[in-house]
Amino acid sequence: MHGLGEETLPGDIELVVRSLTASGSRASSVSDWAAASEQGAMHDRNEDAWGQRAGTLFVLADGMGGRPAGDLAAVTAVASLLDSLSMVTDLDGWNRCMATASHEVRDAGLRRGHDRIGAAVGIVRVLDGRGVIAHAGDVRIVRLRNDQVQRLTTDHTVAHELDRAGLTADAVPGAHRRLGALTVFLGGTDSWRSFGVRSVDVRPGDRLVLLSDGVHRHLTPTDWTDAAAMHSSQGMADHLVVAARRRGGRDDRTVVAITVGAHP
Amino acid sequence: MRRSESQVAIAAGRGMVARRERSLLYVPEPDTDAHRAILAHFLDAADDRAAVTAVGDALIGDEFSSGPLVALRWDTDLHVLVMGAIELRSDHPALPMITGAGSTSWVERVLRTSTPGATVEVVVGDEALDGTDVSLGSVPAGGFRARLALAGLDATPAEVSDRVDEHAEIAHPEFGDPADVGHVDPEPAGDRAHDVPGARIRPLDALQAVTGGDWMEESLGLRPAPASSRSTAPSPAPAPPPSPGAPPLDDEITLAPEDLGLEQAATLPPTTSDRPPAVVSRVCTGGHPNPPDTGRCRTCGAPVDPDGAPVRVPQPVLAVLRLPDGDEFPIDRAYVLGRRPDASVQRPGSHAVDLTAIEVAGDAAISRTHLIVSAEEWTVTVTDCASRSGTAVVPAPGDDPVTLEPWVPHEVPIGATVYLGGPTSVSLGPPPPTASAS
Repeated sequence: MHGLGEETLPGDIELVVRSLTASGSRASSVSDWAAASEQGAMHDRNEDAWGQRAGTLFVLADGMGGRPAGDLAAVTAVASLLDSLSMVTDLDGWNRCMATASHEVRDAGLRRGHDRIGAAVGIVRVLDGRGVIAHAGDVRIVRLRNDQVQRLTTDHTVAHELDRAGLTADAVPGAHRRLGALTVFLGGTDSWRSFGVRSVDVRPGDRLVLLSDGVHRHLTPTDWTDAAAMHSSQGMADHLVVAARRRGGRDDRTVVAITVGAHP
Repeated sequence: MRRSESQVAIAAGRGMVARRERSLLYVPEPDTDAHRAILAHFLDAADDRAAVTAVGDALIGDEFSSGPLVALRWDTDLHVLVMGAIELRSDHPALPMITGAGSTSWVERVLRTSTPGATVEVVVGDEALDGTDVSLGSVPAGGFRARLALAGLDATPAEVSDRVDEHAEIAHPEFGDPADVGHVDPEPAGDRAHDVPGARIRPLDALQAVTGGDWMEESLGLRPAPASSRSTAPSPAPAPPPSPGAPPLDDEITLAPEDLGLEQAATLPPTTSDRPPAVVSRVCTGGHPNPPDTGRCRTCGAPVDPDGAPVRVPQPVLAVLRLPDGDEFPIDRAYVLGRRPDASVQRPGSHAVDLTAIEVAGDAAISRTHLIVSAEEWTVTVTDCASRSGTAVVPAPGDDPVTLEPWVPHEVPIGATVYLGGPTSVSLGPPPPTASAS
């Protein structure tokens, strides 16, 4: 069907594949979503922020604790990403949106006289039956499917980079004191560049959950089993936040829970 | 010139005490450029009085957003400036306590005494350690206890003034010439654990030492160890021990690994793999490594104890890549597929990844460099390399094809079929039964 050695015009691969396979339609969309967020004991305001747009785009940001204006960073990051990300599909678009968000966070900090402002961020988008997740830092995204918990992101922390390289903290000067420090985040000139982005399978019945580190550091497998049993997204989000609080978490706690159903 | 008889003991902590001959600045949270600037102004000013004035000017310049601090100056009288929610206590009956909490700008007091040689003790922050004394320079501190010698004004009744006399020029030649500041010999070493050398420490250097430089802006940039390196390779020089009393930076990064939920994972005995044991897993009752959160083994279906100790393993084989000609490749690394693929290709903006090239023969719709198939911990992803005709994934028989966005990795399950530009496809089969992990 293609001449050997000739330049061919790109065909529509989807049409080609559909002609080869017997495919049905199982498109998915968000059927239910909810969030729970509470301030922890560490700061004098909640430095987590979250937002959603049109029930298809969800953003959770965690302002970097100990830095001034963590809450400013988080709110700025959420607002910027909700604004820009709705229709982006290609990688260039994602790069532009993350760069813009990072610069807006940085500028917001500089206007207030704060240096070293930063936020971790997690993003879930379900659009036209397709899921895309993205993250920078230690906001986690988890999928519950058939009672299995699947972590979809790996934290961008010093500890994780050491693991990836097969090193212990002793091998790198200063690493001991910085195991939780973020290596990718919004708020620096170039700190956003290695953000993670991935297109994921979404099927009816899936739950997608964004968690700030004030929650995910404290959860046990039992917490997840109990949360998965909650039919409503609100029940799940509340359960996870309360579980983290009960285990003595001091950081701000935020969960955004999304339930996927069949496309109506 | 009279040497100061004042002593400043400090507590360990994450703040900063900077001392001149007769003035002192304490910043409990020296995290920002604004604080560095204030410290610099303080230490660079012409004399002690100008130093405290400079602090006030800097606070105004920052519109009072800089955060708490305490500035003191003592010679003929004691001048105290407190900004923010920080408490200063003294043993002077007219100034038991002063705090800037509740005030949008700062609060000030001037204490005078008619008794020459009177001393006032001032305490701020955490309990200071006996035997410490900062005579000049700046050091990390979580508080201080200063015993300050005041010269007193002859025949001036003891009084407390709320008014700041910014232009008070009390000339007392015996207290020295501003030009002599900085040339005072250090007090004789006594039984002191934390002597500060007489040379002035530049505040920016001191802050760099505390904060370790621009850590937040830099990733450690560690690349995964190349496949050929062994863990017995000479390791980098061991890290210097943390300096005594070096303050931690902020809550997040002083958490111990347990607090981070990091698996304190033992490393399995060496296997045939020469990769670093980089992936955290839990082992099923049959000995196969699995994602730590799974309840059933992906290899044999046996239960995986979710509370069992996690172990680190080299990247496991997650699936088998089957080519149209029947060749198979284990997916435990990243491959790049195409008619003649370029192994140096990478996603714009990301770290380079070691790629193994696989040539795929088929129709001309396949680009030279078409697709990356990669194992990352417990997920297989495929990434279209901006191929001319695109890539489509059918996750399971009967599913709709999903056309990939260029350079956006796509998660694929075992059983998926991936079409490269046209009818040519590769598929993902289950991994071969693995050897037991233990």
